[in-house]
Amino acid sequence: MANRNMVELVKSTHFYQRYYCGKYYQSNESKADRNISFRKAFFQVRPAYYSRREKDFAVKRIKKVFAHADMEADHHSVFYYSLDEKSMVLYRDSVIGNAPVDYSLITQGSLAGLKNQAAKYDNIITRQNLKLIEIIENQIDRIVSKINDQRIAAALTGLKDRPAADLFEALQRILFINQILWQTGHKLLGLGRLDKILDVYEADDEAEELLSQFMIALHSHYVFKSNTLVGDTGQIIVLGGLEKNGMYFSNRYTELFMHCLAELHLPDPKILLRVSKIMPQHLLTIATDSIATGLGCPLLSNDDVIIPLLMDFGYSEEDAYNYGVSACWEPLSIGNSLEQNNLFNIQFAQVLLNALTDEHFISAGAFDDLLNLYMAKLRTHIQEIEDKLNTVLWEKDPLFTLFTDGCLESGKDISEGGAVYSDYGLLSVGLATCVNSLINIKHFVFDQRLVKKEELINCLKSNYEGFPHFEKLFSQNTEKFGKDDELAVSLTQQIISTVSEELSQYSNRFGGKTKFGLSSPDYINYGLKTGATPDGRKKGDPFATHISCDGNNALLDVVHFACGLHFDALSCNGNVVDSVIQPAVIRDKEKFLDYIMGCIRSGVFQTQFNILSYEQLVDAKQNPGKYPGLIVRVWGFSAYFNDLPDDYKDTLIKRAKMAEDGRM
Amino acid sequence: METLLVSNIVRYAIHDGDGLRTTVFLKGCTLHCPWCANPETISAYNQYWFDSEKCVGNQGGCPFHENCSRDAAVGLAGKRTGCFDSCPMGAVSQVAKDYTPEELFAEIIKDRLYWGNDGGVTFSGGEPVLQIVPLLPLMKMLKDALVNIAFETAGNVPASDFEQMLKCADFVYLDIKNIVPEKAGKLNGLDVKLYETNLSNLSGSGVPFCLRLPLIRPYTLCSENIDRICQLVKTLNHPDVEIFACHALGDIKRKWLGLEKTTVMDITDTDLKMVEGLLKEAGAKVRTLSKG
Repeated sequence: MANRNMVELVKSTHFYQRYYCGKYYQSNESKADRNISFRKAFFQVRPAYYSRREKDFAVKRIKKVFAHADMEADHHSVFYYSLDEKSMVLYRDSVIGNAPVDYSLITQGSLAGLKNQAAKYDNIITRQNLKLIEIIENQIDRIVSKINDQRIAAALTGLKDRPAADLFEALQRILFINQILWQTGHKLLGLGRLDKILDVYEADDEAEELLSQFMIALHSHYVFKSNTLVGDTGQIIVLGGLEKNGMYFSNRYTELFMHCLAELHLPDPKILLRVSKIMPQHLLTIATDSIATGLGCPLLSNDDVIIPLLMDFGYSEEDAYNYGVSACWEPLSIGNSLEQNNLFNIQFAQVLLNALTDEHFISAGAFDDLLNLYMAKLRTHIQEIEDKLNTVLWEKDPLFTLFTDGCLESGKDISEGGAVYSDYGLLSVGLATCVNSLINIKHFVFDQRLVKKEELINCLKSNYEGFPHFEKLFSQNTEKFGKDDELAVSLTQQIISTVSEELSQYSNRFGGKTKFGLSSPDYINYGLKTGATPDGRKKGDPFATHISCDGNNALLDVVHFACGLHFDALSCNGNVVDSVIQPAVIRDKEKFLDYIMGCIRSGVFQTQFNILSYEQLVDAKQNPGKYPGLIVRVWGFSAYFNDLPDDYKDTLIKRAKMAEDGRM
Repeated sequence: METLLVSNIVRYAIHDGDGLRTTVFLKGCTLHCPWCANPETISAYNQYWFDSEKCVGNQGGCPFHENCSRDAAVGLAGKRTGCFDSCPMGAVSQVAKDYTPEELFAEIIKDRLYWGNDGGVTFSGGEPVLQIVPLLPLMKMLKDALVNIAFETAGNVPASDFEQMLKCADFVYLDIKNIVPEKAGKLNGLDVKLYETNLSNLSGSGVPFCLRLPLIRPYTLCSENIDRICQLVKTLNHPDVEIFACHALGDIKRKWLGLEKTTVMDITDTDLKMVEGLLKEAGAKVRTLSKG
């Protein structure tokens, strides 16, 4: 206890706070390649920190960070959007994020409405919400006193007690709350279903310009907002979608957002379009036009498949139909859930290596013995992840609590499980490597007996040093994950089902469920940490991206493969078919549109496209100055090619080459 | 039951007819054009490829195959299948695969949701008409499933077979290569008379068609041949003609079949424009496929 108090004491010192925040600020600065000395960072940052022993520390630190923050905004913009990168909250535990808040509460509602709502209850959250609303109101007053723009002033002042009067006011309010969330240290903030939220406002002649300015404002502080890589901001705008009554929702804003982003040609914010076989074709045409520009978005998310699974997962019909996504594509219920969907990675390939180094592998008489061993190891791995999930502590979060249904009713902060849903989600890496390795072991170790088990183990241990033939043997097998191949589909399915089964027996601290998906941004990072694998992959090489398979016939092979898989209630945390396409292939947009429509009708879960020219990427890597605007799709986000680390660049170049050669 | 010998199924074909198409390459051809981009489809028998880059054998043997060596594998290139079991490296592999009409139907129909309103299947090759016996029941199955069917032929096939194929087809690509009677036979075995009969049957059948002219100097791109083609075009009612420059696409395949490289002279945009102009003058509706 004494130790913990000491730690608290040290953490509460001004010096420590500056040190910590300075380090953080410096690391963000360096992402932009603007080197800043630690000394300078140390003196520039203004941390907001309160000891946990202090009453209302969570609300107070919000107040403090506002008080510290400069309120400089871009004077060229019609909107007020200010973010002081040097003013930050010092947190100890994990900060909730990676999700949108329900912005309709502050467009069609007001702070007064939230106050009235709070007054219906009499608990800790009532008082927390009222205090926070007061802080927000004071912040509005401060801003209004500093700016001369009457229109902005009216939009913000109006937020106190009336719904937004028009599109401008609605967008300004969204930006205001959004900047507050960023300023208080939240990350990967999605925007939710903006076309739906804006539906009540008339789209007049000014609408296009306003949406463009809105997206430009969101795009500001691009580097500061980025998470693992520059571009990874999580600013996803969800558009379109099936309705409970069986109709497809879209409006003028659905088209305008896609159109404006393609015109702006910015990698961020990004768009996810909810698609369905009953959607109007012209929307898909606009989406295709945007994809063809190489922007990497919209990502297409198939409501026909996803909504029923979300209901199986446990969402009410209404919530399932109203789904949004976390920072990339992990579905969640908007406005009433904790849903931290990107917590840990299931490492399918590492689990295989664990199985191969187990003594039972040597005694395995048949491939099925190995498969059983693998599944047992996989269950253990999932249990270890569950243990880690149990240790995650969330910072108290008055802001998310204010905007999340269930917290008032339950009298609990969102971080304590107050929301209607408090579920988790996992990512995964190395599934393609794992499946390809299992196929190789089946054929070459068990069926054809060309490789002895000891040889296999030794060759992996030595990273194929001295075993070049094995490397070729394993990598040249054309029976692969992502191809229309019975064995590959069946193995993948068995693995998915095992994980689902194991996760179905787990409840998190709040009694919530945990789902997983076949994708992760970490396909390069975890590759670096994973030894050589029996698919010919050497130690440290990257894993494949999501559900992908580049090469001959890839565009249809990979969707036939993906449609052969059955996802269930717990395996619906984003399953993206990621295709690399040569520019020449989509020159005929009508045919590409037929293909996309085919993907939707045949039940592809989600899909995204990277339009890459091998020649151009190679040139761009050598001559970055020639390609300042070259955008590529990296994970659930797009980014400037020039901003990517070399290993990400190399992965894209390799994929572009395979797509071009049409060879495996 | 007769089976179909298929060398490849391309599942996102954008140059083989209306819409997105599934193109099935059937093995066996009545011609032997020296520039052929798909040399593996010429022989009517199944053959072995040999890809030396994939081979790990040496002169003495192979670590994974006791009865094979690099030399033995080199010798298998282009040979008729049956004399070798299988290569785990995939260095020696079979060019084609046998399908019953039902099996091939199942493979094709997988893509149906991706064809949109206009797409469908295109049979190419090789010369698909050569496999008419198993192809007709397959085409009937496809027809019953309301699939749009196109086929590409060189027209060097018995007229009765050709007419039977036409009855099941929604669209035909008729290749037009060298049709100078004194030259064609020696060049690739084309019987120009038979070709003209088939062409006239085609144009009288009401089935929409397009003439496909690959430009290769000096084989098809020479004034004598272009003149003849233009004359032929004049006898037709403003036919569609597709022209494109032929590249050395078949080189890697020729290598795997153990054949010598071909040399293809470059066709320039000026050449394409010139031919396009002449054909238009003769009344054709010309579409020039861009390079690449």
